Amino acid sequence: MFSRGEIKEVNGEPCEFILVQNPVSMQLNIDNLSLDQEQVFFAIGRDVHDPSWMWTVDFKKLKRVHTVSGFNYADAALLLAYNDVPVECVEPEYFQAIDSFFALDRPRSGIKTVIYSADAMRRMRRYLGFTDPEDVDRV
Amino acid sequence: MSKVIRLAALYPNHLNLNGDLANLLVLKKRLEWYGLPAEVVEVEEPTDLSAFDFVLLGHGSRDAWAQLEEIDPALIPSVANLVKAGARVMAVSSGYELLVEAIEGAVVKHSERVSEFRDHEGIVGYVNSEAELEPIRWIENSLFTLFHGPVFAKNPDLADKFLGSLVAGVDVALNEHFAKVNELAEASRKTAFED
Repeated sequence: MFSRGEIKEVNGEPCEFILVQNPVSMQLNIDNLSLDQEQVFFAIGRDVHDPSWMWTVDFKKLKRVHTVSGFNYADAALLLAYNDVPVECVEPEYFQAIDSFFALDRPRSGIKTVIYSADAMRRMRRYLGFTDPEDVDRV
Repeated sequence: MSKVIRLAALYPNHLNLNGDLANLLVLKKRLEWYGLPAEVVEVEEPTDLSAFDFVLLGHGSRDAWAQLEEIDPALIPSVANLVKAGARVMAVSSGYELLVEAIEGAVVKHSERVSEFRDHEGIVGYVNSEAELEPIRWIENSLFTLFHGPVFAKNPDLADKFLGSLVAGVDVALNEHFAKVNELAEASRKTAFED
């Protein structure tokens, strides 16, 4: 299975991919983040029909997000704004957001980290060319 | 120093099924951006509610309401009295239904369940209910809504209308937060109806 604590290299640089599908998985994954993560990509796709449930999650452990995108980017960015999570870039165009994020210099602390819903995961994986479910390293 | 504005979340362990509590987070942050300190207080036992500036009665399951009937049997009548006295109460979905029944003495009818985004006079929210009620209704200074979850995040004008005289007419042009969230809220309302 993709994206359960999975680390893949993108452009020769390690990146962690984290799938969130419901309040419990989002809370557990946020709580398990290293506090020093400098570059987090947060994307909520069209599989999340009603994003209300995301507001039941406690975001205290998410110190900053670099890029917000996905079909529900506006709801995701509102959620982070009202939770005082600083966001560097809100990019509605998903593939543009992916390109810009992976073009960033390596973070000074932590590794690039992608938190996404299932639809955002599928679109990103296809775009990055990760199609083999067996080709996975775990944390 | 200004008095801290107190926002009461009534029984959030029972009445936050769909993230309705988010509305108090939105009100708290907006008040702070207006320069008015605010705090959210979680009420989990029978409490005198007259000390609060705002009160949220969220949506809960049938089981949650049955438990609350044991924990705090006077909850609905006391919140109904607050509404009648002109306090600012926000009631969501089943909270709305129970309060309206207590205030008006009529039983709310049910029909086929609606589960979708709706636009009510420019206010957008997600309905998941069988109750035959208007999506948005005001009684005195209180706001009743079928829209669950963060309706104030999606509709900041509604949030400020609920805050009323505390923020009416305040110039926010110099506060960067408002422009940012207003733009995102507009995009969020559009996204609700995109295929």
